[in-house]
Amino acid sequence: MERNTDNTVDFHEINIMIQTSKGSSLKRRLHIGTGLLVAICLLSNVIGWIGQEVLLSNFRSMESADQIATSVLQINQGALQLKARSENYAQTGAESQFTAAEELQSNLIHEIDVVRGTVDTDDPLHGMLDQMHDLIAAFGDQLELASAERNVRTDLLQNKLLAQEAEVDASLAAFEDALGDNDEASRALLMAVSGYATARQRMLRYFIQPSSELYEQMLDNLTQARGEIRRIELAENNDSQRTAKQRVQSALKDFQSLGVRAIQATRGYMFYVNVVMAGQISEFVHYSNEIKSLVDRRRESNRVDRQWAVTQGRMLAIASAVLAVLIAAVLAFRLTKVIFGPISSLTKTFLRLAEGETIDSIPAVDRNDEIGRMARAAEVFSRKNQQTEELLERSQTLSDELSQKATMLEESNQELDNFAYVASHDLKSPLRGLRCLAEWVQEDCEGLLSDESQKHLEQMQGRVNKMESLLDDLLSYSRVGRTEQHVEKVNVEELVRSVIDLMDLSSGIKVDMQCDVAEIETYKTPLQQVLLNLIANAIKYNDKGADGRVLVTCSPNGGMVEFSIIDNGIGVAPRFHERIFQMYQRASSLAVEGSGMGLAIVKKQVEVVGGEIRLESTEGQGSTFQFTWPSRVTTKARSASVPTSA
Amino acid sequence: MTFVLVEDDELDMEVFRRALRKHEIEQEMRFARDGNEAIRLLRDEFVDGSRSDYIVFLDLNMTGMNGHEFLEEIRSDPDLKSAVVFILTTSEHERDLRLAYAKNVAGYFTKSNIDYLMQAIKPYVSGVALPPVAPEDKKRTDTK
Repeated sequence: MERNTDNTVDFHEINIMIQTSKGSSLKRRLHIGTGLLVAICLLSNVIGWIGQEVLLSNFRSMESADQIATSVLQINQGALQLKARSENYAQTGAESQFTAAEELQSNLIHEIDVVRGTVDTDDPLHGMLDQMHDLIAAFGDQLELASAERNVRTDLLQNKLLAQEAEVDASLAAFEDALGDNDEASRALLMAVSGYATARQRMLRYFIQPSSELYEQMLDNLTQARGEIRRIELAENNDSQRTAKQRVQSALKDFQSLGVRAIQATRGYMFYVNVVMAGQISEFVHYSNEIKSLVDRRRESNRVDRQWAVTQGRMLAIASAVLAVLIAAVLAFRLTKVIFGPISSLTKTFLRLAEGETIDSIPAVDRNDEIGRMARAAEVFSRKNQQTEELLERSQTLSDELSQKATMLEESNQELDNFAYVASHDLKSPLRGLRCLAEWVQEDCEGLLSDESQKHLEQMQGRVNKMESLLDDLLSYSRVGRTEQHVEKVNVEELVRSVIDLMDLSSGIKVDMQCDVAEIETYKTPLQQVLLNLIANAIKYNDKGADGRVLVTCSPNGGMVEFSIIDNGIGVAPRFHERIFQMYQRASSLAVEGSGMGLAIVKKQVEVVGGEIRLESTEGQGSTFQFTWPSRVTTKARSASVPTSA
Repeated sequence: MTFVLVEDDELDMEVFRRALRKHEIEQEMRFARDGNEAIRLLRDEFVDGSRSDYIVFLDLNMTGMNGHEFLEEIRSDPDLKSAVVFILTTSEHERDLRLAYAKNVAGYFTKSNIDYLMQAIKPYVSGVALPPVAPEDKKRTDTK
């Protein structure tokens, strides 16, 4: 009972443990582990996606940078063209060049505007483009101004100066005419004309190749020519001459001022073209080149960026892969350590438990997860094993006690047998002495004793005989199974026949046999004694005289031979069926000889070899004694130690 | 020829005597009550007297030196080792039989079969030849 309650407590305990310990279960750890792996996968994907995004944006910025670069290149080319055209115009003054330059300029501004629109205001490029735009715009203005200067100069040169030259020529011719044949005056006039011509020549040359020396020389020539004219002595009161002279003087004066103006215009134009415009051109070309190189640098840095982004993406991918592998490895290692190690050691534990061992130190009992629960279950098994062991020990003790008791019982039986043997044996010798003495008295005193004493002596001898036969039966009972027997081949039919042949059939009783057993291997003597006893009994208790019948049958039954001795004698009342097999018990009231030991000896003999005997009988209707006898006796020595006694 | 009966029971002695008488065997009789007495008797009467014409009838179960001890003793004694011994006992035990014949007894009879013994001994005593006493045996006993 105590054990039972113990067990119930155990399982209750376990249930509680299993229900309560839900702390950081293995399931949770597995979930966390798997979650981590999934997170790593996601992270890898995110990293890849980001990398692609970076690359894409890189490509986009690259594309826009390329576009800007193309535009900038166009702008640069335009600027260079503008420069060429402008310079051409400056040199040739061709109207077509100017128009082309203007067109280029306005186109350039437009392009710059377009490009500037695509560039962020924060971008330094934007500022540069702004400046470029301003420069180009300013250059356009300068171009206009230069053109205007050039127009003024052209007007002076081609219209006014030419008209003045014609006026000078005409006035000179008129003055010559007026002078007439005044040699001195004519010579001076010639000098003046020659000076004028030289001045004119120099002026022309100046326009072709401007130089301040030429300008100075031209002014000197003119001053000289005017001085010559002035010095011409006119005839008194000759109005025509005076008029002509004045005309020449004013014509020359105008020519000079026109020439100076034309030269100044040329100078202004040259200034514009050579100083202002050239500066602006070099400035915007410089800017343009700056922009170009900036864009080129950007493209280069873009290329480097892209290369870096690719490398970075690759590095990130590799790093995330390595990280994932590392984390997976760590997780696997952890899981192995946390799960598989303990599980395999627990498996070993369970195997040992299955073999019935009791284990004191079960691994992982302290853990607060499934494995811990498993370990605690193993603990229960271990406890059960221990209990089983204890039970086994107890049952072993009990069975030891039992076998000890059995041995004791056997010993006491043995002692009883020995006692019976010794008692009967030792009782026999004084009894024999008594018999001898009675015989000797009878021999020695024959005729001397009275009849009564003689009768008493005979009665005494009768009692002695009776006691001897009782003791003999007791002795043979106690000897059953004690004497060493040897196994021999026995022909059952012959044996039965020989036993029947020994019988006294003087009453006319008939004994038959039906035997279908050939040969058996057994102890012959006890079987013979049993048959003898039972057949003799059947004959002894016959009350039908010549109608008495005894039938002996034997048939194989498994490993046994079944013998039946059937008679139609007086039979045995059922209440005696047990008793007749006991010592000194008799059922019959018939006055037949016997100690009452016969059936007890038979029963013992049958049971010693492993057979069984039983009786079927009703009073007055005969009896059937049925016993089994092994057809093959194993030489299990049933010999017990027999006391040594003479 | 002398019969030496080693027997501690007077009744059995009488049985023996009466059996002899019944079978009309007339021989000289000597009695000993146990093994020791029997050995003394044999030494005194037969060894010292240089006689070998005796037959021992021996009971096994005796107080004092029992039959087996007696046999052991005489069979290791050079003067008595060839003595003829019949066992006459109540014991039918196999062990007793085996031990007795191991000491070369001439026969083993139970007391209930004393008549058979007598029947056998009657012609036996008249016809049996017994070993002579060896001179060296004699000499040795003399020096003793």
